[in-house]
Amino acid sequence: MMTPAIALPPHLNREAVLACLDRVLDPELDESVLSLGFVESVAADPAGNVTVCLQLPTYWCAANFSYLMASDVRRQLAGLDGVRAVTVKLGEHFAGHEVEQGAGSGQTFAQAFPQGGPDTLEETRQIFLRKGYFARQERLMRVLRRANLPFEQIAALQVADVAPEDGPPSPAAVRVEARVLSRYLERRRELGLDCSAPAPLIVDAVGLAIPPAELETYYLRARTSRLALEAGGSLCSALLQARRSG
Amino acid sequence: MYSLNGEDIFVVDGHMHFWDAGPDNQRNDYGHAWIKCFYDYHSALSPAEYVWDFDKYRNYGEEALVSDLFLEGYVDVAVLNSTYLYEFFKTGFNTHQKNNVVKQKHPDRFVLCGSFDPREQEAGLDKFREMMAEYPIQGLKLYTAEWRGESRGWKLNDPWAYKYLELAQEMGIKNVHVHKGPTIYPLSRDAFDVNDVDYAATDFPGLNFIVEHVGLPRLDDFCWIATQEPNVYAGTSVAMAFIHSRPKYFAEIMANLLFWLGEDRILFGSDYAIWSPKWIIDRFMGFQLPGDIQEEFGVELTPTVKRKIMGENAARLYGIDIKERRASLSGDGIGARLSAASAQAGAS
Repeated sequence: MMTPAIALPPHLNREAVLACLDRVLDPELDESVLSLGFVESVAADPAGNVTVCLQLPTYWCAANFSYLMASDVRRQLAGLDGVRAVTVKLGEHFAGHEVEQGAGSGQTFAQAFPQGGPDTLEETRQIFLRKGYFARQERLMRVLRRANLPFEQIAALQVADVAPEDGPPSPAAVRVEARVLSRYLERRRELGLDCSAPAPLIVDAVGLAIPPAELETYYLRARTSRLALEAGGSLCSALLQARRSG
Repeated sequence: MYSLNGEDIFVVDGHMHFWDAGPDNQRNDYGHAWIKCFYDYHSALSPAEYVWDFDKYRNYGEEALVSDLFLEGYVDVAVLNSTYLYEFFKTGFNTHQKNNVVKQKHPDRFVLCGSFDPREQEAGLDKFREMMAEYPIQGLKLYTAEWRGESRGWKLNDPWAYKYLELAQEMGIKNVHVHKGPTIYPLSRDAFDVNDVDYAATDFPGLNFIVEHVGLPRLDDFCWIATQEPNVYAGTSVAMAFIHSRPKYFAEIMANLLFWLGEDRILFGSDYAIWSPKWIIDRFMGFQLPGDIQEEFGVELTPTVKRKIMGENAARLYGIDIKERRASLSGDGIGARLSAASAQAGAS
């Protein structure tokens, strides 16, 4: 991961700024722009005007995803104490000007790209939040499968039945890697799904439990979604590296 | 032709280009940005010894093409894509007219793809008919995500697209390569969407739809469609290039394709000159799926499966009789150069 160049006045905390950026995802890859290395630099003046420069893997990265990332950077940082205004700049990009202007002034995607037809940006975001959900869920199910739990048993688990492996003592039946569990529950919450203790552990993207006989097929599909995101992320990292060195 | 344990493997490169993106042909900065982006794909995934300098990459010429594909790269037959991009390149990027020049010199070595854009509506139909009549077009390569005027892309199931597909079928076309992957001017998710293939494949059971780049990064959506539609195929260029620097993902992608589509619907493609077939084929022929992946997916990449992916599947789609084609290829100009080279290697 490339660490961005950071220049901040004393009243802005470096860790807090990075934490904001770490919450901004490349929606298509379900990874943060920070860990993907897309953040080139962060600078702020004493008045709290922040400028973030993003470098995406290619000149042709889709305008809608670029727009989501730029506006999310702005939204995240604008909520931070001591920040007065946020400017997001894109390194060479075919729609860089429209993205910078539009996302910078809080326009909707349709306002910034009137020729693009109806605004489907939020719908797109939801589609990819769900794909990310399947990927995170697959990683959790994979851990459970490795622990030799048959699908029928996984289908019967409740949220309360799993606990992070380094967590406090718990009556939970199964311990799983903390990050795998927390990322799954975090996205599940984001989708507005029930995360309470008695809720089934594995539910689909609208919150329905999966019948035990169908869980294996469900898992096999989630496995392909997880690979699609990971392989996409891997390609983007390679491209960004090539772009920076060329 | 690749030789595996003394057995000859017939190689069809299902997806390649012969472009001119040199500075003289660039119309504007977009032309530069276009080829620079291709170059980043090239240098990001090629082994270091196969990375060209940027000048050669922009316009590599016919001799490099012949050598990289046929003399060094094991390819027997190559599917030539046609892309136009007149907005970026004065004489086009790799048009069917330019592609046909090299095809005419080595007619049995190339399958020529034409194209259409349904947004040209009625006028375009005449142009398309003319192209089909004047050129030896055997397949189509379609780009649904291209901007054109106010339009930000089209879908295979648009009413006008159906008129073109009907006409193509009437004129004897069987194979339609659809670009679904990293793309030109991608404005919205719709441009990448593979769902339109589902409709077209159902409504045109007599056509084969080869989804290029396996829909990456929409591999999952592609797989669901392909499991339902028997006339949908996986074009593996880009995915193939993962084999050198990202073998784990390559193995997983291959395992997924074998699991969901099976060994008869996967086609090799190098995407030359983005990547050279030689190194991809060398690595692919020596590649084994890791044991844990084999076990998890219940699939194997046996020599038989490799032979299908490398050429037999594409030969079947294009009606190429491998035995006959081998005989004709051994007698053409490139065949003569290959025999001379192998005689010389034998002598030394």
